[in-house]
Amino acid sequence: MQERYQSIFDIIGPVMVGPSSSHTAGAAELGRLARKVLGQQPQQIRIDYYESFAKTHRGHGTDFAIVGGILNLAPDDPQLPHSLELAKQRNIDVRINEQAEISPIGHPNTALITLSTDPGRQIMLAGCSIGGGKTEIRRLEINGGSLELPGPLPILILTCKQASLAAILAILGKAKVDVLAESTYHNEAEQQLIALSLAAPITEKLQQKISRHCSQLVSL
Amino acid sequence: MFKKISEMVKAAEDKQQTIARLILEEECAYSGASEEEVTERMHSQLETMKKAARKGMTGQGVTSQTQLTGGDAVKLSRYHAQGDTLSGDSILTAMENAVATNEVNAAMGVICSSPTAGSSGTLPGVLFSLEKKMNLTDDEEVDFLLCASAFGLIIANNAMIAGALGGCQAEVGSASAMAAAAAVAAKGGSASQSAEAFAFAMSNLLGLVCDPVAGLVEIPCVSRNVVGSVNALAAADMALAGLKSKIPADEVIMAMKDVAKRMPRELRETGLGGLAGTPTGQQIKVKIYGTDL
Repeated sequence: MQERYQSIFDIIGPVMVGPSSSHTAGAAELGRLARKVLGQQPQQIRIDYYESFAKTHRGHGTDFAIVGGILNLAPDDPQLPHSLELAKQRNIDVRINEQAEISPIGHPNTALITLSTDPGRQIMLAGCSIGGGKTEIRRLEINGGSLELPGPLPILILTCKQASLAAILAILGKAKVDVLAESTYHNEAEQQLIALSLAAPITEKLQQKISRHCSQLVSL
Repeated sequence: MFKKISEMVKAAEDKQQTIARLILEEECAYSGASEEEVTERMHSQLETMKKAARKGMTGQGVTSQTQLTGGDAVKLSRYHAQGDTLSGDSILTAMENAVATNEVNAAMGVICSSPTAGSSGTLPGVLFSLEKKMNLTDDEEVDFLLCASAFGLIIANNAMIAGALGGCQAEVGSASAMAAAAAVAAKGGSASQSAEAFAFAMSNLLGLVCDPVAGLVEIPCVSRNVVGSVNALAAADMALAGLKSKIPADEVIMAMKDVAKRMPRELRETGLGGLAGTPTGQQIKVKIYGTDL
């Protein structure tokens, strides 16, 4: 089992705008990750909160944190508390819902973030903020394809042919990066949506190498 | 990566090295960064802590948007400065730094989470009290943070550090135990004495609930960090005096997790029970959000 907290800076850090590491900094991180998966600024943002997030998001600044993350503001950016106005200025539609049910991904600090663009690209990230600013993504939907994510970050999300996967795993093996788990969304199309959970983060250079074998690569 | 405190203490004894040194090597191995890069980054975390504490004590201090908290660090330091206090210089210095940091956090200022934002005053409280008493250098203060982070990683991976999962014992309780262990090391105590201090500090705060009024990180978070800091100093002195916790540190972490599992959700960062559920707590909530909830 992969340890959830790996770095000393998961504990002494992040440097952030208050008031809550899980409900503010971690929430901003979830927003940033969702933006990374979409790959561009969205036109619509929908956030669904569960459990502790649903009860305390207003007091903890979770709304501005997630939206700020989506707008690529850093957790310690003094602009973070003003992200909702920033989104309004950019004509981004923001909808926030408090759900009464228990979390669909089994954690009290859960947010489902749905980002879409006109026309037609949509992603949904089901994430949780596990404490101290650390986050996990448990489910991803990309344009209708759904992935149950295999474990803690770092995770690579690939869109590639099944046949290219062997080459990608070989590159990771050669770089001595352990792949801890793998999950695939199988569909009719030739391209598959695949998530690989890694033991350690990979370099920019390695990402470039891998991206030659897939049509899309997101390193989370 | 150390999975247990006992394992980490044994490694420190076998290699005759400090826990700060061991965790620095672990971090380099994990991240691929050099020792200079890692310590430089820790210096920058330290700088953030210093700035936040200073900000909370300068002039009138800070006030949160809700105006529920703020200005108390300044009051404490004025009281401290007139010289006649019950708890004395070390404790008052810890208290004012803890309150200042958490007031800045509540006012949405920039802080360094340690291990969380709600508990971000506890480590600076202890650290800046030691700094004043022992004239610690910045390098020594970075060692304090390294040692604290080593203990914090073990809590985070074996139990939890989120109030929503474990209550305040997982936040201020963890911060206090980390600070106690690091304080022992700063004073020249052994790795096993650090573990004893850790065990005392965490044992003393088991069961502490997370009951934030109106779901804000203000009441009682700001004053809870005072108890985190003061408890850490007391636990460190207990260990330095040679006292031993009958329950080993790793088992105290398991006890914290056990208590967390038995803790109702009303007391885990939902703003429903405890102080949040009192008539005054409810009134504050209605006043802030303007609706009858």
